[in-house]
Amino acid sequence: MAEQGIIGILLIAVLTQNVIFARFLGICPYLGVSKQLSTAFGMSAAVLFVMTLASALTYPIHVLILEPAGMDYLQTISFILVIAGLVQLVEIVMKKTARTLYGALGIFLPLITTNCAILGVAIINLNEKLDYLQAMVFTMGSAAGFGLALIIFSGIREALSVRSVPEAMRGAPIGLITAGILAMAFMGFAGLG
Amino acid sequence: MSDKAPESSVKAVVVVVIIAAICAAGLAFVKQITEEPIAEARRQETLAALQRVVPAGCEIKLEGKLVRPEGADEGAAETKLIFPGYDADGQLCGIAVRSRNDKGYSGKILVVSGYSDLESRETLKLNRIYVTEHAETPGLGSLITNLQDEEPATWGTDRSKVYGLNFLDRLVATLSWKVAKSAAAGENDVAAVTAATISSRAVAGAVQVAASLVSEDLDGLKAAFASTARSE
Amino acid sequence: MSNISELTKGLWKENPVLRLLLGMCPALAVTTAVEYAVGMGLSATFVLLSSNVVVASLRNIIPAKTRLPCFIVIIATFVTIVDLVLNGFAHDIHKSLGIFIPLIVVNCVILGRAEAFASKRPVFDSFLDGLGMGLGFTLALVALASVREILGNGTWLGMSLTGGEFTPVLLFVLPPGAFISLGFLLAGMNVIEKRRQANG
Repeated sequence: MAEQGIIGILLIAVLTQNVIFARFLGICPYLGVSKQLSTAFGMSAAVLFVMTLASALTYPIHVLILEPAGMDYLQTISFILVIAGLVQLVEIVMKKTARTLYGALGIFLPLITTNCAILGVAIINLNEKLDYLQAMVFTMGSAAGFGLALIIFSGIREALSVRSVPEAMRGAPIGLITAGILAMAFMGFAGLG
Repeated sequence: MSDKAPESSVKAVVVVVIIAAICAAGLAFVKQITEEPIAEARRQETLAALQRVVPAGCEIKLEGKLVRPEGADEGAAETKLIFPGYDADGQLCGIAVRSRNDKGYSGKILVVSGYSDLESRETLKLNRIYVTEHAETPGLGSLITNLQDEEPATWGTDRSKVYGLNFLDRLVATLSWKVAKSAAAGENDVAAVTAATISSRAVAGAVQVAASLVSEDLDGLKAAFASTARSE
Repeated sequence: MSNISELTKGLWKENPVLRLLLGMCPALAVTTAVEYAVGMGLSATFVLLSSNVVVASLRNIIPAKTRLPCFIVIIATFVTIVDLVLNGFAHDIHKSLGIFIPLIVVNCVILGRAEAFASKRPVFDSFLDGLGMGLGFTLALVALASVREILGNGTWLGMSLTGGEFTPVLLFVLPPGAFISLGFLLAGMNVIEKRRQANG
C-alpha cells in the first residue's frame, strides 16, 4: 500500500479493504449499534474522532520511541494503553467543554476502547510501512469506511425491522447475513486504486 | 468521576504504573528467550522458499549476493536477493532469486524463481517459481501460485481453462515473456491463468526481472558464488 | 454456582461467541480453516486463563478507579507473550493469524471476564471460568471454521473430504461467507435453545 498515491490509499481504505467487510475489524459495535440510523451516525463520528487521534499518537510513539530503543514488543501494551487513556481523556474533556456533543456521542466512547478497528488500524499503519501523511489518510479513510458500512447497514436494518423476519433469525443472525450480502457488494471494488 | 481524596487518585495511578513496570520487565525477559528462535524461524522460512525452486539435491546457502534494487536511492537498505545452491560436491548447481512486482491486481506480488543448467546463457533454465506473497482474488488471481502440468489445481476441472502458470523447466533464452490468453499464446509465450491476466502479467514481470539479473550477469554470478572449500 | 458449572457454562449456555455475541472479529476473520481456528482459540484461551488468574490474585490490590488500565496492561502482557512464543516456535501459525494475535487484547471476552468475574471471585473459580469461556470460544470458532472449510475448500483440517468430486463454494472462505455462515450458525443456536426450553 505504501507505493500508492494518497487517492489510492483513500480508495483502498474506504472501499477495497473496508475495515468491516474485508478486514473484519469493528464487528461488535457494528452489530450492537446499527439498529437505528441516528445511533449509527453518532458512533461513526465518535470512531472517526478517536481513531484519528489514536493513530496520530501511536505512530510517533512507535517510530520515535519503541523502534529506536528496540522495544517493538511493547507495541501492543503501549498502543492499547494510549487508546484507553485517550478515550478516558476525551470523555472527561468532552463532558466539561462540549456538553451537547457529549450528550450525543458520550455513550459510545467506552465501547470504542475495545473496538478492534482502532487498535487494528494503528497497527496496520506501521505494518504497511506508511509514512505519517499516508497513515493519517488511511486512518481517516478507514473510519469513513466504517461509518459508510455502519450507515448503510442500519438503514437496511431499520427497514427490515418492520418486515417479518423468522424468529430464529431476528437480531444478530439476520444482521450478519445482511452484512454478508453487503460484503459481497463491496468485493466488487477489488482492483480499485 | 466524583472527587475522591487526591491521595487515592495518585495511589491508583501508582499501582497501574507499578504493574506496567513489572509486566514490561517480564516481557523483556520473554523477548530475550524468544529472540533467537524467531530469527531462526525466519531464516528457515526464507530457506524453505528458496529451496523449493532449485532442483533436488541442490542445497541453497543463505550467503546471498547483495543486489540493490533498480532505482533505489543511496540510503536504501541493501537486500540479499540472489542465492546460490551447491550440490554434494560443493559445485554451484542452481541460483534462486527473489523479486517482486507491484502491479498485481491487488498490489504487490513476491516471487522466488530458481535457475539451473548454468553453463551458458543458452542452456540457462528457469527451473520453477514459487509465489511467496500476494493478495490476489482467491479462486481467480490466486491460481498464480499453481504451476501448470505439475500441480493440478483444486479449482479447475474444466480442460479449456488455464489454471496455473507454465514456469516449469523453461529455457530462459527462448522465453518471450509475452503473456497472452491461452488461445493466443505461442509456444514460447506465457499462457495467462484464465480470468487472471493482470495477476499473471505481474508474476511474469517479476520473474523476468529475476531471469534478466541471472542471465545478464551469469559469469559474474558464477565467479561470485564459485564453490569455496567446504568444511562439511 | 458449583465449580463444574463455572467450567461448563462457557461451553454452551454462555458461549461467548454464539450466545454472548462477544469476540466476533476474530471469529469471522480466522475461521477460513479449522487449523487457524484452533490456533486462535488456544491462544485466546491461554491469555484468558492467565489474565483471569492474575487479576483474581491481585483483585484486592487493583484500585477501582484505574482497574481498566490495570486489566488492559495485564492482558496485553500475556498477548505479547503469546505473540513472541508463537513467532519463535510456531512460525506458520503466527503468520496465518497475523494481526489477530495482537488484537486478542481487545477481544471483549477477555476484558469482559476480567471485569465481570475475575476481579470479584477467587483465583480457582476465575481459573475455571477462564478455561470454560476459552474452550467455548475455541469450540465456536472450530464450528464456524468447519462449515467454512468444508463448504469452501472441501477439506477439514487440511484433509480432503470429497476427493475432488465436489467443487467447493468459494464464497465461504471469503468475507461474505464468514458473515453468512455465522448468521446461520447463530440462527441454528436460537432454534436449538428454543427447543430445549420448550422441552424443559
